[in-house]
Amino acid sequence: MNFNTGNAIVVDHVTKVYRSRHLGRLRLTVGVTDLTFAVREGELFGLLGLNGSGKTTTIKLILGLLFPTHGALSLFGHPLSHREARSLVGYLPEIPSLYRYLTAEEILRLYGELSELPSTVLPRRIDEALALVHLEEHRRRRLQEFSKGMLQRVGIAQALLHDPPLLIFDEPITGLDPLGLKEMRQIIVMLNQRGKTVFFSSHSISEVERICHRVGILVRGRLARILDQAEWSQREGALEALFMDTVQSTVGTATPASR
Amino acid sequence: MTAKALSITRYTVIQLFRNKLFSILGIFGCILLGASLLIASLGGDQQLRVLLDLGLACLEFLALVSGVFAAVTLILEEMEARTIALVLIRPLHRAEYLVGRFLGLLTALLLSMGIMAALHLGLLFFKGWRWDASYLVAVAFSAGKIMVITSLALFLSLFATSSISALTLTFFLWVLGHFSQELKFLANKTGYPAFTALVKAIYYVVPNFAYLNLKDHLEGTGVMGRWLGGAALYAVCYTVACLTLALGLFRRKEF
Amino acid sequence: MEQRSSMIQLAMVVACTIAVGVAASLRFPQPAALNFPPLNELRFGDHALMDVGGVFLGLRRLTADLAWIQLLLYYGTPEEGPGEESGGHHHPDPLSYGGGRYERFLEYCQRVVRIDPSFITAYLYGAGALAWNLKRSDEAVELLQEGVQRNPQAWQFHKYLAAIGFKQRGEFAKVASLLEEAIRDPACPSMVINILGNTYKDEGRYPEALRVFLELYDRAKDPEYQTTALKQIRWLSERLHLPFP
Repeated sequence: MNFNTGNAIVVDHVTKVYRSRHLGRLRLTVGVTDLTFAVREGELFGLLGLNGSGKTTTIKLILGLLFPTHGALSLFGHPLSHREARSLVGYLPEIPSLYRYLTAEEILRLYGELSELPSTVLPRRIDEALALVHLEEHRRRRLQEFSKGMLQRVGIAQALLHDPPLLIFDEPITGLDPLGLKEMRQIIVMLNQRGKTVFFSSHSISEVERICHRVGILVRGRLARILDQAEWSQREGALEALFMDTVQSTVGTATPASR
Repeated sequence: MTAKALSITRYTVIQLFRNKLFSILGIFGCILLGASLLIASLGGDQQLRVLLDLGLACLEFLALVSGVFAAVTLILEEMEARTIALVLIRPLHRAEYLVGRFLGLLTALLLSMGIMAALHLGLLFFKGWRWDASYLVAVAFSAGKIMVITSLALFLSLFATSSISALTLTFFLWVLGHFSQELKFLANKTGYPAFTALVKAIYYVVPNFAYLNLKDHLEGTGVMGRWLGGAALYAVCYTVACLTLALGLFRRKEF
Repeated sequence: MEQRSSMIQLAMVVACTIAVGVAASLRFPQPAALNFPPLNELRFGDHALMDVGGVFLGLRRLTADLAWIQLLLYYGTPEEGPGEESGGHHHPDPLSYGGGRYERFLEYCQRVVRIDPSFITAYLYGAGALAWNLKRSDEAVELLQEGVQRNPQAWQFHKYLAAIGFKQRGEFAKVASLLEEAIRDPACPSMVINILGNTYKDEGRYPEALRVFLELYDRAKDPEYQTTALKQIRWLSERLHLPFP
């Protein structure tokens, strides 16, 4: 395993432009522009931004689901085109889209095999993952019978199954009730305490404020600012103020509510 | 064939057999086989021949319908449902995913054809038919046709703008592929060199199902050993070419 | 750069597989047995859509079978006789099974065999009905000659042509000898076995006729022929003072 200078994620001058054709005319939409940042190993990094600011685009670029128009990305020193890079990541999307025809056990077995887990180790890992998310007694039920919360927990299980050093969560707390929110926060902190690098996007400033070591603020596809915990931990509500400041100064106009 | 592609193949077979569409088509197939007994009774002395031909036609038709519909939605459905994301973030080549899905579909289709063929044979033996190995050859080459058309459908699903257009184009090519002899005749007859070149190009590009349509030649399959080898190779090559083209398109897909 | 090289690799794979495929198709050219008559030789008539649709979907044998069923329905449907006029109304007089001219019989037969030229039984059935039942030997010969042209390896057509020739000259013994050989063929239609049986019966050769009708009863898949055979067996057994088998 080749780790490079202690960075789990390196995003180097990445731009993503979406090209679409409508009635023969080419339309270009900018997703992110000249994004450059790094996430250190063992860090808990939060990506904040308004709707449409490019959070999901950034995450998909890191995962290789989108291809950058310019720039390069790497995970633990491996370019994204290398398969080794993808074996080091666990991903939880905002809404986990899972194969409804399979049971919980079958889907974890599938993902485990695709993640190159040896067959001697896989059954134990599946048991551990299901136990972690409290789904042992539902392991033989098909996912089409699961509730939304249960599907979210299967999503977490598949992200952790192969014990990856890097975890990427896309808006993990959206739509959760207060108990679910607390459980998710505890899981994220617990994983980070075990030495995992956690990178997640959110628009919940209060949650990000509580647990992250560093925060990146995206505004209209640009990384406007990166803040260190020391910059907001001194007083309550500081991160929100810093966030609003950053957005307003980047956008350059007053927000619609104040007009 | 890698272990990961095999995992994808296995999951695809499970998905297809748990899919209601496959079950409905399976039941429909059994009903058609039963109905063929009634139709065959009108055939006078040739009841067995009619039963044989009806059964082989039903087998191929059902495999065609289920195969093409499944192939067109094989990747598209996963893209729309976004289930493909949690697979492609894993350390596997997109080729492994594509080949695994295709082989899973092919396996499910072959199993279904096998089950229907077994039922059909049961009916035939019940009616006093004597075993003839050309039956197996006919079924095998029907399976070859299905393999070719499903690989083409998969390629077209990634090429076309919608699943409806991919389906339409696939069925059109199925018909055109049986028309190959007439295409060749047309190419030789016309006096315009440009038109001849165009028709010849279409003749070579469109899959030539006449090579594989051996259920229409049950009397003659015994004398064509070398031909069968060439035809089988043609089917495999055409399938590989379609899958390679599909991979070329799939490699650059974003999700 | 990496993207271009992998596209080149893919293009090479496609080119190689196409080359192998084309080479396979050239090295193993389609045997003549697989060549069907061109579309313009099909006898379309009222069923053009069904025939063309069947051909285009790669279902020639099945389409020929459906055409065969329509031939049997046509030949099995009694035609109207001359009838009689009474009270200002025309009363049609349905003829018995197979009775009638069936002017389009050859057309129906040709429709079947041009869709599937390897449907040997259809030629033999058609020729048998035309020559012996409908007394149109010239049409029977036309059908058989088409069969010879499309299936040069099929020996049955020559036998039938010879049998029709001898029939026209009244040489019963030679006809019977040729038909005896013809019925040994598993593809021989039940009608031809029936014709041989009737031929023996008409010549007063009841033991031979009984043997042939017993064989017809065993071999016929069509219940109507089994019923016909049973009737003949009963009649012949009585004539020969034999117990009904």
